Amino acid sequence: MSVTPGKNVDEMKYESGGANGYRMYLMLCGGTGCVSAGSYEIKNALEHELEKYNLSNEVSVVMTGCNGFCANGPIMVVQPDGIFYQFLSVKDVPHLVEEHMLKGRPVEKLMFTPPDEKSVVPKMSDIGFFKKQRLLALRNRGLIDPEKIEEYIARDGYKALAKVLTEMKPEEVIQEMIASGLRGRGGGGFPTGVKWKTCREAPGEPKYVVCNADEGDPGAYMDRSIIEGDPHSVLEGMAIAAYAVGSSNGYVYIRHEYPLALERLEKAIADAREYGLLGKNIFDQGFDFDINIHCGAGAFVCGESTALMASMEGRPGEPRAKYIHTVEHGLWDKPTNLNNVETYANVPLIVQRGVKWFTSIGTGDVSENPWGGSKGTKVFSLVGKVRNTGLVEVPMGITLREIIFDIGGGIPNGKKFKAVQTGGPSGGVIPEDLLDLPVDFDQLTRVGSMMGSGGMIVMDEDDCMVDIARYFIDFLVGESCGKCLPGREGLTQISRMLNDICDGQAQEGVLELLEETCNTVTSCSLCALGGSAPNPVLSTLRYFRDEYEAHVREKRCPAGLCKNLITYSIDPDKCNGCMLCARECPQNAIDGEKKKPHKINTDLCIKCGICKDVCNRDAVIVK
Amino acid sequence: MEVQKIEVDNILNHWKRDKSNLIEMLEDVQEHYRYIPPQVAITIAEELDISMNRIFHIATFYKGFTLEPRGKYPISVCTGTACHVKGGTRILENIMRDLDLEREGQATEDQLFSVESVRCIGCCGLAPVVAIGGEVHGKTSSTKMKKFINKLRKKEQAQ
Repeated sequence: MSVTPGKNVDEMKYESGGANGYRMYLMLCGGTGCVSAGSYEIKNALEHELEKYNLSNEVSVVMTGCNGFCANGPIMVVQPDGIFYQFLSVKDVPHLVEEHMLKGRPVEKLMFTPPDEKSVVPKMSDIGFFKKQRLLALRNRGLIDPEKIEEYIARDGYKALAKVLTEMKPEEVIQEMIASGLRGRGGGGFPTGVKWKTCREAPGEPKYVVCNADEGDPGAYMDRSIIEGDPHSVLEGMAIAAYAVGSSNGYVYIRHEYPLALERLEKAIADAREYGLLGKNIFDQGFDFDINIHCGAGAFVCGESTALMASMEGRPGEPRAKYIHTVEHGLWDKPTNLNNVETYANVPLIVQRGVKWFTSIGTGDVSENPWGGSKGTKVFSLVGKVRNTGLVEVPMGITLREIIFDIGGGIPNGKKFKAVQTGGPSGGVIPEDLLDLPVDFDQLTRVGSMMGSGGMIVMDEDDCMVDIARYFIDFLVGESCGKCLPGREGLTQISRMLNDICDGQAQEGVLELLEETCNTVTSCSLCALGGSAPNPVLSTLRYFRDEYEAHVREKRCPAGLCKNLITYSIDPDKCNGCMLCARECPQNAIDGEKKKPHKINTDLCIKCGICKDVCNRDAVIVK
Repeated sequence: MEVQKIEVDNILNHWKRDKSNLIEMLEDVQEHYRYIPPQVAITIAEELDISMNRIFHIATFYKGFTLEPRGKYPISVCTGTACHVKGGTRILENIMRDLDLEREGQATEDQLFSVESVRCIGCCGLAPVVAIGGEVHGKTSSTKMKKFINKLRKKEQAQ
């Protein structure tokens, strides 16, 4: 079937899902996290139980995209009441169906209880994690089945594309994007409309529209979640971009590590083709556009635009100098518009709801200058040492404190907050005294970090800042393509210095040499990845120099993490002699009789940390 | 594993023997053989008239390719930042030691397991994460993984 402009999209709403008479919808999370925790098994169990009570015609089970509150999965939200269930397991299902779906009594023991409180919070909208979020890119989160195009359409999907094709000239679309102040969500923060304009005006045919779904930042999974949860929002955004820049060929470059996202994307493209929303003569307006998928083979550097395009052409993903812009000479040397997944997902919403609405969210003023502020929202993956880990979408300008403490619920296990890392390997750490910083592109850059694609990793007092810097540099050494000298050799030297510091082998003066090397790499690298690679080192040096100095001068790791500088021992007052650690120790380095305090033989200990992991009484001391 | 020319031919034909699809072809080869066998690389070079240098440049550049066979159950230990701060790197070391492996990518003697660190599986909310044969284990630990691996090995030996 094909869709003709305007009214048919509305008509399809009724054909397709909205009013089919179920009294209750069980929205079960089908994101990767919950799937790995068994949500498909739960789905089968739910359907089986519903069948048993003859409720299959009244209650519908829907697999949705990622709910966001991944730490508490598998998650299910019962609509229309919005009751939130967490940590579901197959054995909970019979009781749950009987009580809630049959007798109408929600089950408290499967609900969320805020830390340090006793009573449960039944409704999702009342839970702190969700309260301060504002969903634009994730607008259909948990509300639709991502594998059904009808459900996307029922939520006003593809309406923006219809509007653009029937009512707007490409130049008007571009003008709208510039006025909205939408900036690239992949990390760079370049105004999307300005990029589209350059691409439209660049000479050369054909033009390409590419979606960067090579989410390479370790500790971030926004793009994965958007594609898994609402793939059509990305396809619609790409189609609008294609119309604006004058392209009929689109590509999605996606990581091979994301099998579920790939599967849903493939289905979404096939469905959109079947509905005539991709392909020839879309909405009978003479506009052709189709999308193909290119699967990345695993290289962090391929997130960089020129490397990504080299990879798409079947070559190693090595960047080239940036003075030739990919919007003019990109894929196959043709003008190419490259945006990130989240950027595209925002586009249909801006077209539909307008510039005025979009610019009312966020910071700064973009009416004269698209760089003048950060508008809209940003999706972050809030992870690490924080109670409520998961995916959150917040308005620009919210403070880090609100994200980490109000949404994230603070630091678990009574530990103290130390720092938050944003921007992935190109970003930096932000210490406690900057927690009230409003989050937007420019503020984060000002304090030595960056927005990046949206990884937000919270660290507590047990995390060593030198180790974190070393972690990122070692990652980048492995991922450096090796083309330019600063990226190849400079990073290797920085890595050596950091490893020496962590091993307690570094000499006085190393910190100055480290800074100097970092500055050289920053100013001389070929691509942006090399240029930003020293950021994790520079920002930890800036805010946590005392930790570096303790490693160098006192040969001490204040956080108790760097293996060469610590020893493990057992607190005789806490140990009850349960033998658990002695059984698990791979070195047989733990001696002791049953019910008497144990001892670690430090000569045999390899500091693997297993004893600390298994101890139920927190009796293993690391110093 | 014996390399059949017909298999390679199928892969090449599927990608229309177009050189720009070389990465996709090698992905299929990797999936089929669990590595890039030298004989396959030679066949592709000859069939597509490209240099071996180019094939090995790609096969060594991207982390998705290996030049030695992976185990039947490839173990991917996530060492993304969220997993790193929650001890993922330690889990990697402990699994390697348990399986008596000296370096990443190497397979155990019985060809059942191989271990690699991966940059991010994208389940950061469940850190630390390990994927074994494509199955994701969230909020895991060295001891849990050891038990699971032993169980898998017993199951294989029973067959």
